[in-house]
Amino acid sequence: MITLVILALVGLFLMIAGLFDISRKAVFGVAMTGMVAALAGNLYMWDKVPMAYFNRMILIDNYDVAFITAVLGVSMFLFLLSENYFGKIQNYLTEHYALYMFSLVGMIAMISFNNLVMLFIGIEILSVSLYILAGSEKNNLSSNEASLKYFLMGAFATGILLMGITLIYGASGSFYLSGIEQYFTSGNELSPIAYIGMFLVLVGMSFKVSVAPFHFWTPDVYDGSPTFVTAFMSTVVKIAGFAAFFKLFYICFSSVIHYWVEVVSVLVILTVTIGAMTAITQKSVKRLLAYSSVSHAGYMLMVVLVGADADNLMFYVVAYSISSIVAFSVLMLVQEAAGNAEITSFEGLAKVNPLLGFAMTVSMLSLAGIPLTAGFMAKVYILTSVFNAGHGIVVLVAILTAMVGIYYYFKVIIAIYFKTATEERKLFTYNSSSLFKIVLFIGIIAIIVLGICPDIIHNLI
Amino acid sequence: MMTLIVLFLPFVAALLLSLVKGESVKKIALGFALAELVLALMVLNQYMIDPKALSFTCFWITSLGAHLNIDVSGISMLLVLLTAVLIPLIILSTFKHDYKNPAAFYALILAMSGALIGVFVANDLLLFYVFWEAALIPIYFIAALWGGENRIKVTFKFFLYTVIGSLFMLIGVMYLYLQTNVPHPITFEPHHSFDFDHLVALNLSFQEQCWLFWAFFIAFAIKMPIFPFHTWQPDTYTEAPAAGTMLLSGIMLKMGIFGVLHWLMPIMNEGFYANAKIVITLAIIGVVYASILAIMQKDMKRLIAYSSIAHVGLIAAGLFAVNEQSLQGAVIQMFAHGVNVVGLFFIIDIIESRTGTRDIASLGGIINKAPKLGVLFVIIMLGAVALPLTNGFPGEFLLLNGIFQYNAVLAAVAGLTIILGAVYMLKMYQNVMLGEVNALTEKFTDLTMTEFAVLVPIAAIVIITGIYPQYFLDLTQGDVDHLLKLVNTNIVTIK
Amino acid sequence: MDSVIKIIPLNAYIILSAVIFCIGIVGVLTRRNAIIIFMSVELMLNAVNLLLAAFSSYSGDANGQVFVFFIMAVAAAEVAVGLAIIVMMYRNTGSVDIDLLNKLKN
Repeated sequence: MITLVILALVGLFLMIAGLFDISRKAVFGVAMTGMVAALAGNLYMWDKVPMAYFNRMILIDNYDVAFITAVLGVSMFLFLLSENYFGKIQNYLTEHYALYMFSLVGMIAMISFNNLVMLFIGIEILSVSLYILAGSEKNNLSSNEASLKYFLMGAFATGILLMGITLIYGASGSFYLSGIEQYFTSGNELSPIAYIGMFLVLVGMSFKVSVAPFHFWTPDVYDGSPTFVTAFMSTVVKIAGFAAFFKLFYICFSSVIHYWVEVVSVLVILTVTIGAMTAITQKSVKRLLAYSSVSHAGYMLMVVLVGADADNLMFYVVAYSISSIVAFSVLMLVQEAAGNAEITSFEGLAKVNPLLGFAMTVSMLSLAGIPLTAGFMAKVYILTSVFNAGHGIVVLVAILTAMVGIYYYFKVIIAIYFKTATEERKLFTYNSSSLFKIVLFIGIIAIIVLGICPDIIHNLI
Repeated sequence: MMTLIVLFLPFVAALLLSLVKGESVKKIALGFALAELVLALMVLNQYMIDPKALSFTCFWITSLGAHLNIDVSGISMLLVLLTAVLIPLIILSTFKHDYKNPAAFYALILAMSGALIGVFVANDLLLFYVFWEAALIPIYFIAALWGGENRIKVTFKFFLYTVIGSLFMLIGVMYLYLQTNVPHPITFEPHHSFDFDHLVALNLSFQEQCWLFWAFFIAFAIKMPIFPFHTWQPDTYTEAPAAGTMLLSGIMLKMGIFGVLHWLMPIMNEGFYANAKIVITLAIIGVVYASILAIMQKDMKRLIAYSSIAHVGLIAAGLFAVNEQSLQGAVIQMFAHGVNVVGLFFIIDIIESRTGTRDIASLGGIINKAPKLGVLFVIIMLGAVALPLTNGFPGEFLLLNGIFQYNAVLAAVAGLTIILGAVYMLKMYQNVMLGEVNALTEKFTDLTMTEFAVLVPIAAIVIITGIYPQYFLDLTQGDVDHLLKLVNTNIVTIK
Repeated sequence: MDSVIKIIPLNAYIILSAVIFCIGIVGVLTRRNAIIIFMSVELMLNAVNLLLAAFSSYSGDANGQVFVFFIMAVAAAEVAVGLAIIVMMYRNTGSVDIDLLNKLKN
């Protein structure tokens, strides 16, 4: 709770500070300090008796602390790699930061919810902040389009989610997770609106985390938004989204798992397949990463499918986020230098800037799931767990789509190392400060270390 | 403990090497490789005294029950020795080239050697799998960054093909893991394990064994390669730089054979037995097919690549015939083939760097200009042809003997390999070394010191192990007997 | 008061709310004007409000009605942001027709 308060206050403070003339470094410093303080306040709650706040609307236990730490940690990692992006924003810089702070507030509310109302509030705070951020490049038509599409789809999804919540409330008589769980485990005949409500909630949440076939907004929105916002959306938001998704289904609906397990397994198969198939033909790295995030969402959904082992989900989202952020930060630099985000802009990167080339390669290997990287261990954990639960077909489809995935991830690696840059591209300067290089290097080391010793993060929950 | 050092020294060396700049990279790399060889010989010594002292276990991923469990059995000892002997020779063989970015090149070679040793000593299935895949990354970069003109597509096809096989193996790995149910060493709750002994003790049904067999075997078959999974091999061998091809053919394909021996046979023995016939047939078809194609090749490197498929096909057929002769033959032939093929590819590299071509027809009369090369070439080539008194002979003889015990007709067809092998090898030698000197080979200089230093040990091994193979036979006898017992007892209990 | 409320069976409210909700969904999926689409979304949200109020009254639990206020407040905030986005798009393209949004089709 103190985390939430700190972040909200920092956001408000930044908004007010925007009235005065503050230097960029000060704004960045305030934001980072706020996040560090929030993280500290969050870690303080680790291994303590679960505390309830706001009349039991928020309940913070180890699961929540772990995921909030993941969210904050990954956001800090992303912000440290972002000075390039923020350096280019001319107007309303503090408002940008404030919006990110508010979206983090929304995410924390979303993760630590104990009451469906709080889930809704968290999702809304997060989404509204992101609608604005997606459209933050006001003169770029793609950005406008992304923002509008995201807004319309997001509001639509919220409507469906709300109807689901309402129906569940009507059936169970309570918004609290414990009350709903009691209703579902009571053994009485469940009213049909409970089932309809459950499915509507499933559909609504699937929209938010871009699970197929409700993912069709993802490529356009991810492609049109500024690259930094895309990085934020595809990593941090997914962490929060799946944390909420898993918590909801694990606590409330596990007792009726036989009703939704087949539906969710079909969703998983569709997601990984569609995500892999559509990524093959992409020429833009940004769109490729967007489609690949859809297929990774499929993997994360597998944990919901199994209905257990939250630590697999935690490890997967952390591994995926770190790899994805490394990829996006390299993409941001390349995009700035080359003017576009095509695969061809990456050609010859290894010779021009070896660190960036190496970072992108390690990140692609991790996203593809090649051993010695965090992505491989994450996939092993999840696939073993799914296999154990008896969903052999899901495992088979996942492995087949992993093979397809290697193809398109390697297109980028081949471009980096084995194609030669044209003369004009050799002259690109990639503006990266030493802070950027250090943090990027730490990211690479983290991916490899987590691939060799995943227990550092995995055994926490 | 020593095994741990042997395993991790190449990785540490690779890291250190990547930081070195300048010309001394080659010598430092060679130094590390020789140190590895010394360590491997010490391990060999220890193995003869007390094999148990070489095993090492420690916790790796407790949440999965995977341990850093390494152990050296007879066959893996032989292969570790092969790796440790070949890597310094391979590094030495690259000295005459001036590759750009040498620090990365040698670091990748050493990293790959570490991963290869890891495959051979891993006693934990997940560790085996990680090293199996990890060995692929360095060789991909070696082949793709320093290779021939067509390398990008070819190496990517190689990588994708191999990874697809490995992913099928992953399904098998996960399934086996979930079948185990052993008490945790600390908490004593039942949990799953990747440990080799636990996996062998599993009681799998016949259906399970069959599909698990194919899941694992696809990966091994692609690696060796066995017909019809061989299509990646000739192109990749041709396009890779000489050191890359030597690594691939000398050591990496032994990974596939080793996988069959060490993991496939003990764990999936019924499935093994049931599917043996199909595999032997495919392998022998591959032998004849590859031999015939080898005769038709104009490019020396491609010819040796096809001959490698033929040799490996015979070894694979021997593996699946499952009797003492064929298994021993397979093991010896692994070592012999590794040494021979590295020698042959190096000679091709020498010829190519001197004359600029690998085309058999356009060369000739080199022996007049380079007699030392001629002599060493003929020794190694005859080893590949399996002439008695060379290292190829004991292996080939035992293999054919073993396959004959399994099925006389198949053995007769397989025996064609000797004849066909002699045809293409001798034809190549005749066209390249003998005959008249022409414009291309006019200025052929004889071997330099480093080249001599590489070829002489290889030729020596060819002759010595040809005359006295008993040392290796003794080394691996215990392991082979153990394997036979494992496979046969389980068959007996069914009947 | 209870008996007065319960004259109309709860199912009637559920059906009415469902119908309005479906009209809203159809509107979102088929209309081209961004403002109309947004209006349909609001229609969906209000269907939810109606249903929540009904459930709350029938079970005598005030939580539902409190949630209605939450939804209204959040919907108002969403309206503000959403219309701002639509205005931004209008300023750049001169129209609110979403079929013009095809720059990102790949």
